[in-house]
Amino acid sequence: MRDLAHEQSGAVMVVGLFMAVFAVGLVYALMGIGETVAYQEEVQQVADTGAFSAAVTHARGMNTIALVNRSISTTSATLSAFTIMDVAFSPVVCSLPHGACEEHRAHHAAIRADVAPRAEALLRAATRAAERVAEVTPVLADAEVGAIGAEVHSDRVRRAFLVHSRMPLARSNLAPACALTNVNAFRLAKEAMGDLLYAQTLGERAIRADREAFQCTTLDVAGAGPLVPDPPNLPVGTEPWQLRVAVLGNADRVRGIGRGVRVPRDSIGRPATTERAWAEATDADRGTTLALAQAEYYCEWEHANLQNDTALHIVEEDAFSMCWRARLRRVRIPTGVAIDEVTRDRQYDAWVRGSLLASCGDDCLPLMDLVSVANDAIH
Amino acid sequence: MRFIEDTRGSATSEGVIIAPVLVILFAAVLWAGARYTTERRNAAQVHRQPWAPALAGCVDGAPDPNLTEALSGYDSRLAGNVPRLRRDLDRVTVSRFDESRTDEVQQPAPLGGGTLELRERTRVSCNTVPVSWNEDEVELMTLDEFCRLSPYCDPL
Repeated sequence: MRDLAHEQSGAVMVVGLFMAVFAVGLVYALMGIGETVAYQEEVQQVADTGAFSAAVTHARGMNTIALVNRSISTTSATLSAFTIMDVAFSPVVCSLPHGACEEHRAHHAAIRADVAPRAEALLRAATRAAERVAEVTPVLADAEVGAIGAEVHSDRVRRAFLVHSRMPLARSNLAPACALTNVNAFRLAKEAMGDLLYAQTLGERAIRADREAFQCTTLDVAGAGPLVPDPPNLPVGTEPWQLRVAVLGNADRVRGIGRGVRVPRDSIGRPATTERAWAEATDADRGTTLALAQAEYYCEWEHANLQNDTALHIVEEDAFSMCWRARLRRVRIPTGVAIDEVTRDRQYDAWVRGSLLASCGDDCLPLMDLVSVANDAIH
Repeated sequence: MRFIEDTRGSATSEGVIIAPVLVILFAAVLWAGARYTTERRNAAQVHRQPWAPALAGCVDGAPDPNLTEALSGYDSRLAGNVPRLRRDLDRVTVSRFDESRTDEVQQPAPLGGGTLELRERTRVSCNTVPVSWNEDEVELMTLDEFCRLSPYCDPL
């Protein structure tokens, strides 16, 4: 024992071996950090590009719907002009001599009987087309997100999907379309009647974008109407225009040499009420991670998001304008509303169960711990 | 036997044995650093590249076949009814910005030598470009439709 204590041979070897083991560990850790950073960036990149692309798809859908709405407005102007002429030739308004009113009325009624059914068929066809676009747009967006995940980043992504949300649109009656084209409807009536007859019967009227105008209140075609925001006064940035993309990352490669990224429970936005703890994916499936991203589609037209009608614009007018674009947003669930933590947690839980899990299915069940921790991290 | 019992130079010989191991490990650290630096630089360039054109709207896309299909033939009705609107439908375009890039790093001899390919790829849909409505044009569209549907355009 004394000999061993005094023996110095092999001392450098022992120190060297310890250093070698330490250096091996260092290389291992370095590779783990590198892989983890690369993995995190890649998965988040898929989520970001997926969310933005989904919002672009929705913006394209809105622009297509705006175009069809404009076509509805254009066709409804013809029917409005007919209503204006009905009034112009009515016994109450028309005071032309020698039975001219009756003659004009009969002539106009014959034309209207021929044209109105064809115009109404066009309006119904346009409405069906707009509704079909609103229906397929979220499907197309989800397919685009899936393609980005599967084709571009297949090695690190298990699944990328759009959290289900329908376009916040509903079929309106024809009043908004009619209101937008009031000016043109009177011009058409003038074109049909000629300036003199128009002046003799209707005179010059002050015309504004007014859904209460007589030709709009009586304009009703069953099964036809533009698709407009529902409710109509949804400002930019509110929840219905938000899209969220979730990406289930394949962390198997990272797990081999690193522990992946752990999210602290008391990270951002709320005071630490508990001792710091780290989120761990469940043991059942530690190879899967979750990344979220959010984007929105919005109309950048200066008169978009009116809260009420004005003399020149109607509240739904952004649904008639090809002004829709997309942009990324910070992930926030729900958005745009200041609420207390308890309400927020309840809403977040409702979103997770009602939207995220509904879109993801069983794939997301092993991630529930991470998803609930994300509530603290993203608010 | 004396050679075994002689401890002179033992530290040197142990150092000689362990030094290559440490040199190899040091080289491995440098190689790993270089590899991930290249990979990150590659990824950053690829991921950064599409955003500027995508956000601005790449404007070189083709009409969106999926949305046109969803219109269930209404686009051809638009062509007949209001040609000006049909023209605007063509401006609802699809375009994407695909970017990929491959960098190579030299592999150390103990790992087989040669080069290691680091490939990055990304894809972003191009933002839409707003189409403004000219009120005169809207008036003409309305008149076109009115004249197509009714015989009123011949003045009474």
